[in-house]
Amino acid sequence: MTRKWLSLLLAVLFLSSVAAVPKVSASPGTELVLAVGKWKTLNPLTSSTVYSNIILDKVYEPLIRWDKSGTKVVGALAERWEFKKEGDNKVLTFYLRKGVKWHDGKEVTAEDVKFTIELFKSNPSKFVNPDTLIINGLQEVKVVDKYTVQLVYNQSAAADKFLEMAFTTLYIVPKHVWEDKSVIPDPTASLDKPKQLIGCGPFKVVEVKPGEYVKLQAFKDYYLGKPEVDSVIFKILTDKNQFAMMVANGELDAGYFYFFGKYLKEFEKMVSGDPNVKIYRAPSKSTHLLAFNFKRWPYNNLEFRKAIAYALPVDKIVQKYYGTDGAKPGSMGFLGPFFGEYCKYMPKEKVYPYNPDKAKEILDKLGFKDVNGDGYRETPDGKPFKIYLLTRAPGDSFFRDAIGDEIAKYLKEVGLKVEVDKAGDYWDKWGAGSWDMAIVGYVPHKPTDLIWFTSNNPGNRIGFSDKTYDELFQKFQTTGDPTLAHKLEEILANNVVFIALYHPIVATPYRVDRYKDWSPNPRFLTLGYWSLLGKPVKPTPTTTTSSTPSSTPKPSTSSTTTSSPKTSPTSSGGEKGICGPAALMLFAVLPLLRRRR
Amino acid sequence: MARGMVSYTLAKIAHRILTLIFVVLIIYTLLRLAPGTPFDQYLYQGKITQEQYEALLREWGYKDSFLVGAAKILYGMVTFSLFKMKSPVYNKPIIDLISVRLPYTLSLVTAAYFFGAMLGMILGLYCARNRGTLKESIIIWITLGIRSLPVFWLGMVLLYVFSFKLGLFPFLTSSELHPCNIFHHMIDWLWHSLLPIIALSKIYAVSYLLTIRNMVAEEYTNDYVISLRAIGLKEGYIVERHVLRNIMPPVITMMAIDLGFLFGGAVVTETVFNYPGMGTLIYSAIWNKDYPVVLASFYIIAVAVIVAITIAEITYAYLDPRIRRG
Repeated sequence: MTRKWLSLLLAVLFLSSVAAVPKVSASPGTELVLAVGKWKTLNPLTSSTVYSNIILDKVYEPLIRWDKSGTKVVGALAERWEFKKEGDNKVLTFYLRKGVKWHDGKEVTAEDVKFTIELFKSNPSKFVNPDTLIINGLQEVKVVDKYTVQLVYNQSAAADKFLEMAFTTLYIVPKHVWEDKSVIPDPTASLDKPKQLIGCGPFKVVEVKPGEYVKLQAFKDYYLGKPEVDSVIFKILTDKNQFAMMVANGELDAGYFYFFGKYLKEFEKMVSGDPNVKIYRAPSKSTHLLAFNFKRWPYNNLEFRKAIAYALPVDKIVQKYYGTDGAKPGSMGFLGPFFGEYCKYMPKEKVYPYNPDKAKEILDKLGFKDVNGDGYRETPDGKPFKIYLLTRAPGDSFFRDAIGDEIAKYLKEVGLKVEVDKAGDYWDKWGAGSWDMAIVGYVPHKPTDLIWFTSNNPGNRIGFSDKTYDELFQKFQTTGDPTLAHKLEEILANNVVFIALYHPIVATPYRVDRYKDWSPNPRFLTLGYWSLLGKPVKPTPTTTTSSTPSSTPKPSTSSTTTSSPKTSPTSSGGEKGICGPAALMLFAVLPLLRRRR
Repeated sequence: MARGMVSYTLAKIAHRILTLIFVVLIIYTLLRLAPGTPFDQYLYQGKITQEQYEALLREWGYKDSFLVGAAKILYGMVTFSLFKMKSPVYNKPIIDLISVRLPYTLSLVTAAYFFGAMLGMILGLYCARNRGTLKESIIIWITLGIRSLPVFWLGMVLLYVFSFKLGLFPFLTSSELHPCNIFHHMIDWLWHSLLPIIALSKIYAVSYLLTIRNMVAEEYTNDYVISLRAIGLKEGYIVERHVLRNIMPPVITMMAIDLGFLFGGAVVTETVFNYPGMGTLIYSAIWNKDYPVVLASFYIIAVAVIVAITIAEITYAYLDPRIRRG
């Protein structure tokens, strides 16, 4: 009798799980599944990670944005803009597009722009996403009419083109939503409800599951026309290896993760033969340097820094881990070739070529000699000397540890002892200045990031201070003259403020079986604003499978095989998956039912 | 007996409250000693000035003295407003962050716990009853082998084999499905979470297997077991009615402590499987130097463990009156 009731219960469980139709959240049409890393806040003004900005970029519109190539600015919400001199002031007038709608149907006006800029100005220490150049020297924001807004700047404002670049970081928010305390009680908090995330971009937020995913749907009233991609899911991933496997087997279409060095070669092997997986390679904006702590002796001595420069064959060290095509030699002037006319490209081996004998000569002249015969030089007053080298923080590439070991090896050859610190408290020591030399990665976004080497900039943890550099930078910021950028870079190179190591060449995989128009560019890789405005690949009719245990698509091993596009891998997997485990459950308990005492 | 139980229980509760306060103060002290703040990166990137940085530190209490900070924490505990404090990273009340994550953690770790504990107990009993045989040796070898595998490695192997190569399970634990009934929800959840449950359950399975096996094997050496066999009672009856009861007290203590730690999640497992639970919240909070969230999370774990131990002690005392008498 008990067994009968048990069988009945299990049958009910099984049938209800199989028979009831799941409310699948996938929309009809093309749904792209993308991956980003963890973000801290999903708020267009306080966002501090690139991952949240990638999502917000599809939901909100700035006044100006980067074009498809990522090299020029074009109008977004602003149809056009103009700069005018009025006495000592500079007036920037934006003429907004007419008829642009927020996702709730109301129209975007100049009042929204004024509200956003004034909100940013009221608390720039919390609203850290927009560039502070927007409010440097800003005197007044005026609404001229419904579609025209004027910003009045004084003489300390940045150059016109830098202001334009700065405005690409400011997402305009709806005044009527952000002033409503019942919707957004605290504008500095992370937003995680669709009604809080009303923008005017090509996609609107339909679902946010903090820590899991964000789902966007095409906005039918977008001013450039409804996107042909119907919906997008941004899933959170933390592991590059999982990202690679998920792209290879079709669970993801693309993501903001990239590979370099030997990881890329392994991934290429994993997907070889699959025509649906492409790899986009681009030189990164980032630059990795070997920095000196100017607040400590002898790192504040130019000759000592030159000796270190001559002692290290940087290209050889980097190639060992990145190969010949995995990184570009870094520039001693900080800005890399990514910055076009602003970059004076000065690879270290051209300026201070590897010459260990010269390094030894300089060290001897400075008085660093091996007095006790242990192979390491002592200080001029005979005390033991050791260089404390920071390499990487948790989350950075492990190659930096290896490069740190190589640096120690080459410096040992010229008689300098190095202690390589691979502990996890990199940022604490960096901030506190408890280091002698450090491998540090910078990601300049614009040419004016040369500000990081001015005397009073809080980002200047190196401690370099040069009055000429400071004055020249002020002039560069207000005029935008590329020759001034070159002069700044020459000062950095001549003073050996750091030893430029490399600019990594990054590679990111993406699938083309359901969507081809990714328009990748070096600035945003495959997930820029333009990336989701193309045409999806038209799905070919496929037969549905029966409810067998679920399976996600396997990578194609034949070069001639093309996988048929699906509407949504996750939802179709979910539909199959519910029946699969239910069946498994039943099969697992069958022995229990059949057991005889 | 009832009066004895009541006074015993009250004494235990009072003792535990003092323990909780002490634990929270230790956590607070360790966090005060840790360097760094959530605003350092904005300063290092030049997004804020030094003055703005100092103002943020004052606003969020990073400039408070040790005693002032401790007093604020204790006030929060007494008035139950600790979780209304805001996180400096998310700028949201901590309760909003934890309430989203806690159900995920509890579902994952509870499932792994019960699955692992049951499996461990069943196999432990089997090994105890078949000790000295080849079957027992094989199980113990496999157990010790699995015990030495790191959970994160096991997790990645499971993902590689079952998600990538075989395609049976999804990589990510998140599901966009909106199930229309509880069974669908359970099965969908199970499909997404089975791999992390298997990876995590190995910890519990291994420890319970070895503990039960050793304790039962020890009990078998007692005279009363021989007597019961001589009477003619079946082996299963002896184990169920006599042996298990004698080993229950330490096992209950072990289970209680493990239950308490469930609230902390499993940081490594959740990270490998991108599971949005308390483990990843604590990991991110430590990483981001979000110390209010770290403190609140460890407070929950401390409360859970202390409550679990107290319940275990009270149950123990109820089962064995000798404990009450001291």
